[in-house]
Amino acid sequence: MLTKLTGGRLFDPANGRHGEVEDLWLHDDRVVADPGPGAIPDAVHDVTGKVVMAGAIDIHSHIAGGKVNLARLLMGEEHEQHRFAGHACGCDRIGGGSGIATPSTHTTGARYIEMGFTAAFEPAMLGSNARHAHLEMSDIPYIDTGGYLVLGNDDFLLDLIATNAGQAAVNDYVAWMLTATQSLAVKVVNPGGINAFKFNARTLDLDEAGPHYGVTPRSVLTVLARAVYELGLPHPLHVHGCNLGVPGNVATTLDTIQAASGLPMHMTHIQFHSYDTAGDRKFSSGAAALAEAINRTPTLSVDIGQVMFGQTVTASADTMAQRHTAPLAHPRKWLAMDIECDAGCGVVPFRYRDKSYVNALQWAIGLELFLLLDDPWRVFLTTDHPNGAPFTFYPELIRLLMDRDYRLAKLAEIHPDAPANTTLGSIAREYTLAEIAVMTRAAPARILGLADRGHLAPGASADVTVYSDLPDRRAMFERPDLVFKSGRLVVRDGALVAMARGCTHVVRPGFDDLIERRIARHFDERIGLPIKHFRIRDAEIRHGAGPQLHPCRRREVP
Amino acid sequence: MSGMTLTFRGDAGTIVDMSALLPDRLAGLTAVEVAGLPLPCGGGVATVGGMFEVSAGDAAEGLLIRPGQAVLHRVGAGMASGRILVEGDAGSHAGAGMSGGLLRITGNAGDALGGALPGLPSGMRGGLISVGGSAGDRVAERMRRGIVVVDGVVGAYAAGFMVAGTLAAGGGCGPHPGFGMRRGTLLLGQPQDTVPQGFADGGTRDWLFLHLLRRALEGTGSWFERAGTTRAHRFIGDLAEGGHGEILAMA
Repeated sequence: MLTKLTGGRLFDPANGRHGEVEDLWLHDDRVVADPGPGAIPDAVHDVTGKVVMAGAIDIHSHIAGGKVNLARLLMGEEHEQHRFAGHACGCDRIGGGSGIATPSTHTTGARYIEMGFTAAFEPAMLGSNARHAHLEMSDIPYIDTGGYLVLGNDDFLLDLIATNAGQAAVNDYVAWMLTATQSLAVKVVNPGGINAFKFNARTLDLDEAGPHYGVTPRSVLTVLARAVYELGLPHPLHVHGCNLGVPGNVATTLDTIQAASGLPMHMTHIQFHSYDTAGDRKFSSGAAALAEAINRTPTLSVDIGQVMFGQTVTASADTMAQRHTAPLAHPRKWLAMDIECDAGCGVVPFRYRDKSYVNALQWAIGLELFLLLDDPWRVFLTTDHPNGAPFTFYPELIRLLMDRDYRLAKLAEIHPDAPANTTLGSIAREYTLAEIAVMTRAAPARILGLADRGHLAPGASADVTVYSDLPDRRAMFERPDLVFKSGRLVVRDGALVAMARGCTHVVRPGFDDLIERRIARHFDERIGLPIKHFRIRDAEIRHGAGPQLHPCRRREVP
Repeated sequence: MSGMTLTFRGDAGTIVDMSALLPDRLAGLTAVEVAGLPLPCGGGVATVGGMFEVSAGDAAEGLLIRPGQAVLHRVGAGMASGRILVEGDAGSHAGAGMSGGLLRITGNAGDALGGALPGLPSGMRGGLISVGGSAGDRVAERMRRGIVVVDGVVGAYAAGFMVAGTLAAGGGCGPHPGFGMRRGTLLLGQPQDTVPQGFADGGTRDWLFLHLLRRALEGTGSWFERAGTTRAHRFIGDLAEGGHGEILAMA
């Protein structure tokens, strides 16, 4: 099928197009060059004056896996209160289901595609939960997905580091785990801290040795960052650092940047890691110092984890941080558990209130970071769904970034003491449409190594979003005019009109088979599960469709 | 009675979700208007008029439901005020999450009578439920306030996780009564042979405060009005939850 979009303004920063008027041709599931005057398109959409972008990509959104499902269970009342018309299974009337902070699988896909997002990545997939996560991702319609494998608190890795087994062994282990769990990247959550929690440590600083293995978070970070670099994974190590949410943690975050020692690193939800201790309340913004450090470290990329006001739920593998937050739970309930000695899990419902000093400042710090970071290629739009806010708040967040007057009006509504402790009021910057296109399309595709996504050159996947250029940016991004997924028109005027399926992206760096014997022994002796059952087959991905592979460029290191 | 009457006329065994048909929500609507309301039923949606014969009358004065052979779930669930009389049996979750009003069921009630709706954290928060027959499992689960009185037997986990309130079961109860109970009273019309799990024996004596309960139940025609004594064997628990709740078994 040949589709033509005529007269649209293309925002395609990866190919240097910033609003130029050009026709766009889609042939089946690909963008194609203008086929010439003889070609007769099957469908023509007149998008004159409208904004045309590639489908948006969310690089960090908890949409599948063990803790997401536990959060759904814990937030039962949310599913009673927020039900959507239509069928949850994708048959007949589509778009149904329930939940906002913990949406069911079909709802997740439906809400994303309605906003023009065509991909979202689960950033914390535990090895032992990977099969569950993949089954859920198979069930999420419309959008592409993939999982980042959580390492850094697993006994096998900590043992390798503690016994000085060498970088090569770590590399093989990481590569084997990525392959076995069908993952796209490596994430580390509170390196060593979750393991330390199980030995009754309640805090673990960057240079503090853990109670059992005697390994410091810094060494876990550097070893993993090196493994990711040497294996040539497209996405740098995805780091959720130490001391999340603790006032004064900006110092730890700055040290963490140093710990990477020049290796590429992606620091995630840095809003939660940017707190200083100035002022009467011993809680203030450390955004300016952190932004400066990030601006001058070109190997670093970040996403924000913006807080938005309202009810949500925080779900994290970081049991240490979640235990600290638990007394603030709203409604008053929470859960924590160990996951097969791999890592942990804590789920704490939370309501961010604009009249709370701390919450108001968190909101301001996130925006401050967005606005102080110069390079939109290295900063990504996230709310760390659902931890800072449900992903459905993205249009509102985009408006806050693009509209200074609106931002100042909102700043005037929050807790009166909060503005004094941030520089947000004095920042004049407004994001442009081109910068939004970079931040939500081109840059995420680049940082994840998805060569055919996030842009509109011939050969790219035909994931296209068309918006009306409205002065109210929230209304604009909330309700795209047209969304195409793999060349298929699925959303018209903000409403779902057809079903589509995405794919699951994975990487597969090679490894030395010797490591498999060691891992097999570990599984037999410690886990009690044969290694062959742990490994996920291609046929288990996307109902048998299998994964989409992305190349790794191994780097030979002396 | 000048209230509204709903008489079931659909097929026997039809499953109906009645949670939308509450007296305060139907107040002021005519029979024709009520008959046109959508009603979840048998996995689909029908109309009230398709399933019930609706008599003229104002539901604010009281709602009389004649279930016939239907399975009516969630009768009076979430009710805040008004009166519902069921002449026959009710399905599960009757009066679940109810916060006020009167629900009277002449026949039997299913599981989770006066309990919590799926996914919701708390059960009944006020009002009075009286059942002429027996009731299923998890009666008064997570209940916070109000009275549930059942003349017959209640099933397993009666008053489970109860926070406060009163459940009075004339015919006794199934296994695990008061499991996870924090406060509140489970009153049983039968002697209890063994000490329930998680409870401590508090001895037998005359509990004068039961006269207050009898007065609160006046006019319901329940078993406790007819009980001649206030002497009961008291068990204290659930000790795992602080032990401020009690099970009273009439001696």
